Amino acid sequence: MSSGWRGYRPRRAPGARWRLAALLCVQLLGVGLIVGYHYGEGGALDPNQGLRQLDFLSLHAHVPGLPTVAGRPTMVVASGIGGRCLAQLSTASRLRNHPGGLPARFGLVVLVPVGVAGGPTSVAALRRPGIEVRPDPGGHFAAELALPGAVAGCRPGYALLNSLGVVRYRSYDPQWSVHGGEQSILLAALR
Amino acid sequence: MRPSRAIAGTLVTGAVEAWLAYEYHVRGTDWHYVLHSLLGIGAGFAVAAALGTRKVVRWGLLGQALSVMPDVLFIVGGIPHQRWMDIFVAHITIHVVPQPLLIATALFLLAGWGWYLTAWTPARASGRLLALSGVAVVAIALAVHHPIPTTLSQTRAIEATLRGQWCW
Repeated sequence: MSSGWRGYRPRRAPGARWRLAALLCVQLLGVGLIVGYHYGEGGALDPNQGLRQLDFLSLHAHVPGLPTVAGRPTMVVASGIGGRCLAQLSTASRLRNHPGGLPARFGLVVLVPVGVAGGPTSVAALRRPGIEVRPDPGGHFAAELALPGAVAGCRPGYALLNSLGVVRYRSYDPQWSVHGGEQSILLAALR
Repeated sequence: MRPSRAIAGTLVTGAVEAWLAYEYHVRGTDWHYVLHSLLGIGAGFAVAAALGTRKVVRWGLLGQALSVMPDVLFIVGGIPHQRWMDIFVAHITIHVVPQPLLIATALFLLAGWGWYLTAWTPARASGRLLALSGVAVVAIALAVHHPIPTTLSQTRAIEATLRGQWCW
């Protein structure tokens, strides 16, 4: 007597082995993609998970004292202190002036912490064309924007504000300087 | 199907797939490509298993096309993501479930084997059950997803919760 799996014999169909091999290959390819990506930028082992964030305008938050640039949708970049962090100013310049970067119809603000150890005392010497450099006393605004890592850990972080100054998006994006196209799409949707 | 049509279809599909992978890659969003592709193809496998059809390639590709549709709308049409885009294989909410990539992989593997058993062996009921278990894994994950933050304090709280966690 045979029943169930003990007596089971797979139905023989033409090319069954090939189909099984194809399914195995597809699934191995999928698993291989995941394992490979595990070690890549933004993968599970990457401490900066900013690249996983969805471009979704889910926030509706006010940060008092953080106005937009002349009532325009504005990108606010939180900078840290010291040479490496302040290099974000140059990066912002590239974003502003690069073809496909952030168009002039959108505001671009870089917050520079002042009054903290190791930081500048004034932002007057840091000005760049096309960018508003604003002092951020003690990193207060960066903290309010949920971007404390920008000041404390020099992580690249930014927020997008609509023309009324409402924060609609914020991200730690390690590649923010080359994502002008995506930022423009989001800012255009904030009009 | 005539060989010429099969070859043309393969070439077109390959070209579209390569374009899609490239567009994700240049934006540094490979993680999203892997996530939505696995989830969409897995959903296609599950439908093929439910229908008992052997035409799994078209169902897998249709599932992937639906799953990545909001990103295509963003890239091509400049349309930002919106909450209603969850109709495209949970495109929004899948980002905030626990371990999204593991969940998508579970669906991809379980539904794939479920389809194989359903379409090519007598163990059809077992195949459908296997595919259904993959769908159930996704459904449970969606039911317990983290909230999508609407305030900065929620953003801070979620990041504090996830900090230091191993996260696929």
